[in-house]
Amino acid sequence: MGRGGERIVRWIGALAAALAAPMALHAQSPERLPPTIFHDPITGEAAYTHDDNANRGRDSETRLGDDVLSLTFSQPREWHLGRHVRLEATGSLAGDKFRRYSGLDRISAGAKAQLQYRASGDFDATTWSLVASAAYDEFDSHLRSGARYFLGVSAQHAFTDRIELFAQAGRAEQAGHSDVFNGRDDRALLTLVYTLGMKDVAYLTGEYRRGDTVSTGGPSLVNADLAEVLVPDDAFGQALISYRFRSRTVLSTIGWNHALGPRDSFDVSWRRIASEPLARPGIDFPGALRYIANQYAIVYLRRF
Amino acid sequence: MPLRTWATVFLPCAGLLLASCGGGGSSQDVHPGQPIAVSGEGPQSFLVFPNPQVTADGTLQTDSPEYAAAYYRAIDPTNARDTFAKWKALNGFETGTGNEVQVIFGDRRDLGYGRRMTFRTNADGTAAAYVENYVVQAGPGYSYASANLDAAIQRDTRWVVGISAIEYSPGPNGGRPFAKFFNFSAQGARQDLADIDGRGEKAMPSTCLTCHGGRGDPLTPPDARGLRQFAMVESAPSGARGDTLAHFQPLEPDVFGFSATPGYTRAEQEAAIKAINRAILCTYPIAGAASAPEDACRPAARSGEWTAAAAEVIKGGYGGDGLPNAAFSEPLPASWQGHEALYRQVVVPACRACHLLRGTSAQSDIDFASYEKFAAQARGIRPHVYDRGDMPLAKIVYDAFWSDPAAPGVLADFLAGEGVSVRDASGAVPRPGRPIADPGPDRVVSPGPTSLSADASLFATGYEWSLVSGPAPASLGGASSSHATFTATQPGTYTLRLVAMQGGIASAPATLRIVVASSLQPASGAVRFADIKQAMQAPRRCAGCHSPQFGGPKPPVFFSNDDRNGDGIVGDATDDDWLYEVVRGEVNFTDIAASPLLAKPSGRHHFAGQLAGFDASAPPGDPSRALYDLFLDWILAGAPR
Repeated sequence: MGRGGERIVRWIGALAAALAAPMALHAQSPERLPPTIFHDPITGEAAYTHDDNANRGRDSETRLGDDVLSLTFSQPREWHLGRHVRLEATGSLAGDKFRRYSGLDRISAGAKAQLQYRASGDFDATTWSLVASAAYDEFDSHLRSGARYFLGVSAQHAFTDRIELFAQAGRAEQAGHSDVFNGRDDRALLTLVYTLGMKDVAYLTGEYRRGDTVSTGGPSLVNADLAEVLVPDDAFGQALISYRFRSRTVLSTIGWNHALGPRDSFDVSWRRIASEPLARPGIDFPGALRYIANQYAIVYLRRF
Repeated sequence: MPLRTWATVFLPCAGLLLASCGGGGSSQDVHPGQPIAVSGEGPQSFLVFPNPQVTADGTLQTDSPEYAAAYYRAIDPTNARDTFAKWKALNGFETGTGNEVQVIFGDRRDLGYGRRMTFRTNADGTAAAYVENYVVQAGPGYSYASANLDAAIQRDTRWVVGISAIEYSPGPNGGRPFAKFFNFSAQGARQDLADIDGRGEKAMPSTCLTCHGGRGDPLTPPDARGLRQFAMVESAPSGARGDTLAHFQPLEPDVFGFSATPGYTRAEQEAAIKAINRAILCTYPIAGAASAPEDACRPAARSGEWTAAAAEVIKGGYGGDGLPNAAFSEPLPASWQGHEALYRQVVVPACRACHLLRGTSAQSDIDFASYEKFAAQARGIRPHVYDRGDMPLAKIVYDAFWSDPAAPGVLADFLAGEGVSVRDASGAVPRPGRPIADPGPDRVVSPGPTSLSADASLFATGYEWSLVSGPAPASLGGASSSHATFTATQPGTYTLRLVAMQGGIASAPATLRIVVASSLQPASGAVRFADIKQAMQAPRRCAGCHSPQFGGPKPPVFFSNDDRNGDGIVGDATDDDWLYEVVRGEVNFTDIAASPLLAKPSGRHHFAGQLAGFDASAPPGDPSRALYDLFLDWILAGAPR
């Protein structure tokens, strides 16, 4: 494990301890706790994810799966700027620890701002937002480390007291230490949330991205033909190359969230990522051009 | 928390984080289609002649566009082959005539290409071949990868780095066929310069000739149009300018990479490879009468002509006379029995491909066809391999040699057995790239100031000269520069020392012996070409054999007075200018002691052995090396006209 990996382990350990202490206190005497520990609540997420294609490899020979432990803390704040307008800002800190490919270990800090408009307080009034976010990811893999940004618009609308729809569209950019990880894409997302009684929520998300994608695989002719730029990878081993190419990507997520108490919940989800190059190489090649990854996640969420 | 407070906390943090947020590029990034980034460290003299013909302005004539242009003018004076399409048409490709064979393989050992080779033979004995070369940039640097072979199979033209072509045909004025080398861009334009190893452009035909047995002689002086002509190799059987004595390389499938794709496996291509090797064999001269059917097509070798050691590799690879075996298999020649490790780990992978095509029947030890010939070159191997790093000649071969855990040591141990020490005090094998001091050869000079040069030092950025001993006081100016001035007024032998530096690394000190003699005639620095010419043309000297009148094996260069420019006048001023260029071409300004003008008459690989006055083992100023000293003095002064 590299120094970055050790740092992440220590960091995650400290955060886990910080998370565990108030949880234990809460379990002992919930009735005496204030609504949240902090005046401005902090949301904590602890997640386990299995990714069956962490390198986004095209073919079965180069597909590398891994398990990830993640911790995320975020603190939203909002300010009412007028009768119909408010600003919501969220700062976040996150860390990922991979079981096999420690180069993907990451700590991340970021901020997100949403300028929201809602015409009225009616139940079915749509909330419109201008969204901007920026974050910095420090990976154990030097090539990947860098900033990412997003600028877009979103809309949130409740159709009934059970059905809610969220839509977002915008442009994302990222900058890494290798040009392979400098990329941008345009993306659109639609989430349907269905409330099942008092404690359960099911959700379905579809997202379409068109732009730069990075895949990691062998230094094959097909991969080189697809690549706009490539680099020997420092997370999966120098025998593999990471390459950036233009693609269309569809991300589909289905999930279920169960409230455990007034401030915590449990969430399971399956996300499928399918990405296909926009251009096809003019050669015969074995296998498929697109890559598919599946992510199975279990998350515990809590507000403090 | 008010908005202002929140912003005060988060925005500076975000700013600090994003200020160092990547967005640049890694040095290992590869942008396909852009030139490969090459490290400037270590040896870089790949695919360059050991004597590259340094001109007065310091440029390498054999690596200049002018050299390429002169070559193409010589072999294709009407530019009838200035595109690949024209070249193919002139050679009859895809016309349904002749016999064409195609093979696709990975050039794993030498240039790293995926190669799509089409070889054509004609009923009149001429032949031609072209190779589409593929290099897939799927990683930083330049190396062989199976993707290169896949690209050749798929004919993925995005990765074509060029098309090499060899035509074995008579010259513009007829005569015996000889090999002519062309390089075309992926778009089909003939190229004067080509980047064939990812290390920048190099001039044709040198980049091919270096490993196809060709000579790198200097161009003639400019003619009335200001154009220099390509050298005439006097021993060339074709009698044509542009015949550099180069040949086709035999195909050695044992070192090729092959695909597992049906249709392109080795087994499926073995017959085609054999057909090509059989055709290549037909271009090799043969001494005496042919005894096997596959030799019947070979041209008769003239006296002194190359002995076609490569023919034995082809014949041996297929089982000897009659070529009974269907598949090539690398044999161990009888003369290498008992030295198998050296042969298989060093000679075959790192030396043989280029050396096999070199030499003449009069002086063939450089072809390394036997252990004895290889051993005869032991003294020359050390500086090329362990010091200069200009051999192995091609980058991939060089890298393979030095990444082999055994090969550098096997060769070092062989050299030790031949009395040539390679290993350092700790027993380690030194690798090229370390600073090496070279103050030039020991010499005799007249009293007064003498210019010293450390330019022959290797991988050095700083120099330190010092005076070690002498019979009388002497001075040393510019002791910390590459060019120092030694001044002594009293005769005697002075010893100087040079240390070369590369950053904080100092070389082993090198010693220079200077003999100051007041009786030198001409005085040092005053020797001119006329003095050299007179010495060379004196009886029982160079021009005795190096002339058209010599009855023995014809040497490649003549030092006699001839009608060199073909104007019907023998030995006029123009002929003299041409002779000067020929003689200067025998000087290696990158390694003066290795200059043929000094080495050959001193008896190093010289048909006539050592000549009187050239005993290089004697101390400077000794009468037994008076001519050596004279020639050396002229060279050290820059070989003035």
